[in-house]
Amino acid sequence: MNDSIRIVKEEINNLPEDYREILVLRDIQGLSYNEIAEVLDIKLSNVKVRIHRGREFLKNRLYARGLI
Amino acid sequence: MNDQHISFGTMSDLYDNTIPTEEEKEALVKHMDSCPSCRGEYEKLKNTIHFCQELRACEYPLPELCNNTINSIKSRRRKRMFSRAMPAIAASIIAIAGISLFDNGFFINSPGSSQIAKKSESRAGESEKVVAIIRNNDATVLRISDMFIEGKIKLARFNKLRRELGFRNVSYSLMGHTPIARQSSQWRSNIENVGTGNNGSIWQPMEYKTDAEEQYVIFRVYSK
Repeated sequence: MNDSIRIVKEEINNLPEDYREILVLRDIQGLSYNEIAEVLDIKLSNVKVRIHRGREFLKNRLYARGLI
Repeated sequence: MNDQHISFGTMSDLYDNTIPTEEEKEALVKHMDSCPSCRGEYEKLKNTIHFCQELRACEYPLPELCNNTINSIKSRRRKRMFSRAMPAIAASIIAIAGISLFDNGFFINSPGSSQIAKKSESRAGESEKVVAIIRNNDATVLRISDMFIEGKIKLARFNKLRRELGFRNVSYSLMGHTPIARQSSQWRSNIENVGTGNNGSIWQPMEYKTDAEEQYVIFRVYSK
C-alpha cells in the first residue's frame, strides 16, 4: 500500500472523534453540509465550524508527518 | 482584506465554494494571487482534502471506517434521544413510550445481536409488567435505565407495591419530607432479595409511623 495513504489513514484514525467523523462524512464520503447536519443532528453552522477545525487539525498533522 | 491574511475557516469555505457573495470570493482569490503565505496554506488545505478523497478510492478498510462511523453516530443519536426523553416531570407518560428503550438502549453496540434481540424481547415483557405494577399502585416512574426502573411512592403504599413486585430485586430509600441526596452506597445497603418458591416471601413489611402518608419511598426495581 502507498506509504502516504497509510500515513493519512493513520492520522485520520488518530483524530479526535468529532473531527474524524466530520471528515469521514465530508471529505471521504462526500456528503453535503445538509446531509451531514441531518446525520449528526447538529446545526448547519456547527457543521461548517467542525469541518474547518477538522481539516485544520488534519492539515497540521499531515504537515508534521511531512506529507504536505 | 488585502493587508490581512485569510483565516483557515474562510479558505475551507472557499474550497467548498460556500463563500456568500461573488464579490467576496473574487476578493479572496485576488488576495491569494498576491500573497504567497495564504497561497501556501490553501495548497496545504487542498492537498489534505485530496488525500482524504484518495481514501475513497481505496477498498480497504474504507467501507469499515465509514460503516463504523455511521453506526457509532446512529447509536449516539439513539442514546441522546433516550436521555432527552427522561425528565422526571413527564416520566409517567414517557414510561409507556420508554419501555422499548429500556431494553434496547443497552445493546446497541454489542456483538451476538440475534441472541440479545431474543433476550431483549422477553425483557420488554418484564419491564412492561413492572411499570404496570408501579402504576397500579399509584406510584410514579422516575427513571428507566437498562439496569433498573426507578420510582417514587408514598410510604403508606409501599408495602403493597413491594408484595406485588414479589421476587424481583428491589432497593429503596425512605425520603421523608425532604429528598436526601441518593448515593449508590445507600442503594446497595438497602438491596434485598426476596426468594420465591416454598419458603415464600421473606420480606418483612415496614412498620409505618403516623406520617406515612407524608413520607415517600424512592425505589429501584432491578432487571434480572
